[in-house]
Amino acid sequence: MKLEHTVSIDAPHARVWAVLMDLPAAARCVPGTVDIAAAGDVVTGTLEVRVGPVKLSLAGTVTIESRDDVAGTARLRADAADHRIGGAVRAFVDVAVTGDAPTQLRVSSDIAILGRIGELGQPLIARQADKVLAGFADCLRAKVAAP
Amino acid sequence: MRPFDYVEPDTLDEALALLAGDPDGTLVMAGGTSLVILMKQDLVRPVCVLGLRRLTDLRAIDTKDGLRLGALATHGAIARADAVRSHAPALAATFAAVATVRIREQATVGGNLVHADPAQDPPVTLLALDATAVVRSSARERRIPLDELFVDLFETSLEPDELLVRIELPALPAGARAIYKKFLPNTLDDYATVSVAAVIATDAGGACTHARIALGGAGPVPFRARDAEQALLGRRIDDAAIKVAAALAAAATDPIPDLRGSAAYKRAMAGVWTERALREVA
Amino acid sequence: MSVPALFGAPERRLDGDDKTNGTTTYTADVRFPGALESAFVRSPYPHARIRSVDTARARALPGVRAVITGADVGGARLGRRLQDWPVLCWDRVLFVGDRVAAVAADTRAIAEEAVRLIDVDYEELPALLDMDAALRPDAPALHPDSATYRFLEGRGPRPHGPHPNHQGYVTEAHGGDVDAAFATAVRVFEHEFTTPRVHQVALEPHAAVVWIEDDRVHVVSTNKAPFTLRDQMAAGLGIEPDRIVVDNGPIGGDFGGKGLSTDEYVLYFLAKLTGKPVRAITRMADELTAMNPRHASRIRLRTGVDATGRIVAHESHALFDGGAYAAGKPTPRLMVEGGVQTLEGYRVPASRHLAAVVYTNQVPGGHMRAPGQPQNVFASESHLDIIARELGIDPLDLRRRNAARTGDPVTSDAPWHGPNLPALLDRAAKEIGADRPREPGRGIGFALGVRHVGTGSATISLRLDRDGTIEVTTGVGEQGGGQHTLIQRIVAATLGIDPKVVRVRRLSTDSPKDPGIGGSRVTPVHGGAALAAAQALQAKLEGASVAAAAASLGAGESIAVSAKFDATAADHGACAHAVEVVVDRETGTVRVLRAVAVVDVGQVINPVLLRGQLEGGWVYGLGMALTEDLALEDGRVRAANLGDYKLLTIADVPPLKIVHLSDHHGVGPYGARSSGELLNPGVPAAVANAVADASGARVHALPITAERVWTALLDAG
Repeated sequence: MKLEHTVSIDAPHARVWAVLMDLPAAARCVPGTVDIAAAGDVVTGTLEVRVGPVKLSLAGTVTIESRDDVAGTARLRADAADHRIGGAVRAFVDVAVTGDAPTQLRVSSDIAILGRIGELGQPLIARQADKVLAGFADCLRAKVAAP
Repeated sequence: MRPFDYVEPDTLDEALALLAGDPDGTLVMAGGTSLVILMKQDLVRPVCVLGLRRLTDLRAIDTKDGLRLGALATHGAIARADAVRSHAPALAATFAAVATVRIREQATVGGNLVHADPAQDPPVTLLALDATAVVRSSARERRIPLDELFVDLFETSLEPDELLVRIELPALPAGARAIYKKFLPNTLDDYATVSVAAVIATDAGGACTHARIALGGAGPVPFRARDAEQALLGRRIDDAAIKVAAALAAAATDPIPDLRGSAAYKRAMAGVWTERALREVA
Repeated sequence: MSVPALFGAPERRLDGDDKTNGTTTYTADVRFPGALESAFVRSPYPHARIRSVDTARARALPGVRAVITGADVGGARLGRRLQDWPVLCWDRVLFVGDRVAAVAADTRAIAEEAVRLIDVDYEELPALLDMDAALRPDAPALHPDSATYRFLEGRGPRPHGPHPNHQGYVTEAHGGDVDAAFATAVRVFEHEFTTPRVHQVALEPHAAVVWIEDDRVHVVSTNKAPFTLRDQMAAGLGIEPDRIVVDNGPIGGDFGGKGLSTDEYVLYFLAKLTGKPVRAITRMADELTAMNPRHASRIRLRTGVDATGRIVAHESHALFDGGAYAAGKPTPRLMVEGGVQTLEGYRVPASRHLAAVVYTNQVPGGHMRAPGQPQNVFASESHLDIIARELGIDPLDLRRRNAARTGDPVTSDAPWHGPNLPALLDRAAKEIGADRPREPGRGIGFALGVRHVGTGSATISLRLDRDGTIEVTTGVGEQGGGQHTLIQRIVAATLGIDPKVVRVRRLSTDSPKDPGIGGSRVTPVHGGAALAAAQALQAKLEGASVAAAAASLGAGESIAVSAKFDATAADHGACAHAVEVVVDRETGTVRVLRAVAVVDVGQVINPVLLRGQLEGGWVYGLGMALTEDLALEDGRVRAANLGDYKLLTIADVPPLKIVHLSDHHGVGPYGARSSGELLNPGVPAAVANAVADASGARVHALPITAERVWTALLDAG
């Protein structure tokens, strides 16, 4: 499933980019994340999210697959699994930062729902994923705006 | 399904005490028609299930200050109750339209509301009838207007230690007419693609004095189309007024695209069925 | 041969009492003390390489008795004809639901818990999610080692197509020069139609128990063709066929899906490892996700007609999405054969057909009630209807003009042999009231469905005992279609005795080989064998009555006969469909108000079961017409539960009138024809044609959802 989010941030391009590329901080901006820790280039953590009547506890990693500081684009990869229900989520998240004060942040996600979690139904999952990513974008905006 | 503890208290106080003991680890089961499916799929794996079926007091249906539905009244019992039919035949019809007879004799109104499935039927008509949920914990009782009960998909404003005990509906304005329309383009046992409940009262001159329009399957929660209601108040409910209200109702939707239709289709259908509902009660 | 009076009396089905009082022992009810339960690790990816499988945590779980992975199956692959499906995948997974590891444990809960503890490290590979992607010249072959796969013996050599991702690839030409014939056409029409995957959804899921005893592999399963399962397992597992005994009990619904077995192979390895019986029962979500649904299709038809609307030339190009494996298809051409010969039942002087089944990274397709045919008939009968409307000819007239008469050239090599099709169409028109005026928003639609009568051979034995009872033994099982009742009635009627004294007993695979249920076969083949056996007994009695012959037997004596029957005659059953619908133009909702099916199934033997087959088949077709869609998204089945995969309920079924109108030329016993796969193929087209008649909206894709009709109406303005 593919999701798109765009936010406009009244802050300099460089600041937006810097916050985004501070991966542990960026990961903490995803609503519902706990136990975020950095180990080298890999950030580990758990995303606790409700999908309809079901509580998922998705433990996994986030890495930067590629980044282009000049163009202001990067591709992040997140892999997380819920071992209680049995299933996992794999997401490629392309971020693109354009413009300057206001700076546009575009988050394009390609999310695969793997295993039993998929039985909850795509529409429900899409809705929650959309909410989580919208929350992420909003949080980033707030973080960058903070002095 | 995984093994779990099952407790079945004899009184409401006992149930509330048990719930207060471990509110996050306890799952409350009324009729179980939704919960058991999720448990059999292993999607929900409770440590403890609190079964309510011995709390027979909560099955009561009576007419004190309007209409009161005990949380454990089954859909079938509500659909058949004279008190419900005389309050609003549309309410009885709503419960009669849910799923199949096997589900209706097992599923309860309380379970239905707390499950907060946006495609369900009863919340829509109950919203249009100004229902209030009465909830209790071991410490307190509070009243939640129904449109504040539903927070998001499958999410309510109930605290983990609270139980829904009763639904209360005020008396309807004199002459009010209510209707529930369930759009079922697939099979007759399906969830609604969209659904609409409307309650309308008019004065002697034909001007609208009371308007409630509620929609189901048209967003993450069932909701009232307040702009559409406002557009009708004080007006004659003629063709033009109905079309305006239907368009406003459609505009208020935020449909989730799924196997029952795209968002655009559901939005358009919300308009069509609002129009049809209003024509019947105008 | 005169018609026995018995056939006019409603039958009491042999399996009826046990099924209604709950004592029937289905496969899932077969329990042994100490038996183990199984669960499987399935791929979450449509295409991936397996880097490693870590089973350590699962093995450590108390109650787990065995854990196996692809590394433990010795390269074994399964399949009904082409054995291309790994019993457990060892290097790559090819669809969401492909199996990677299996657990045997004391309880199902433990087995499922252990499955969650198995970590598979996958390397995701690009997936071929549609037929066009799979057939691109540069598309990678999903089965690069295909040449090493076992192709089970049968008629003809293993099929090959021009692209490595072809499973089956068929070209046929019938009649005269097709291009020359097209050149004579006054008008040529071309249309394309698509149908989605749909699922059999038998009430009983696939299930099996396997154990090893006395050096033989014992199998009880829901497979409807036990002898062929034995042979397929023997080939796939490298075991002599006589070291496998398959002893299947009653089956709780089949609809074609019970021809494929997958768990039995894995259970063999688990049983061998643990020394215990091991059982598998498929979850409904896994049925919908991984068990051989009907192939999705895209069919393009091109037809030339003369000035009077007579067909002069025809060609078809049909693509079927076969998914990751061809294993579900038993046919020698690896083809859903009902999808090749389009415009079946019509006079077509010259035609050519190209049909291909394509490998993709989707759920493998299998056989389902008239494989390939509902797709074909939806396309063919919609195409004809559009042609009629374009030509300004009444759609029924166009069909009547073109319907094949005995001896006419059709889209196969043999000239037409089958019922009087114009008579069936005329009667359908009369019953639906084609000439009556209709209210606005209503419309009627027609479709013609024809289905071959099955062929093959079977052996049936009879033993007359001193007490006057006859025991019939057969290798064919009972999957709900009334197979045993049919055999009982034919034996009783032929011998002129009360059916109550005729018992039917099913034998295991330690008995004469039987082809099993499928291909509209049981009535002509097993019915034919029952008739032959009864006649053999009659001959042996030399004119004595059954009762007198029994009375003359001494203690412990009996009279036994056995007959092998080979049904070879080509024939067809036929059905003219007519439906009346109302279309709600504001919402696109289609309601079928009533329906008529005028059928020629030849001599009726079991009137009650026949009605079940015909009405059930019609409703089955209506589900495909209106609601059923096993939609996939990114290779994952979206409707993986029966809340979302919408089967019709009885409340959704309109009044259906079935009219029997036979030409009395059926080739089966007493002039019978097959019925099980006759009704469902024509229903979607009849509904689509009625929708067009009622509203002007022409839907080229199934199912005919309200949103599709609404969109078509919007597009038409």
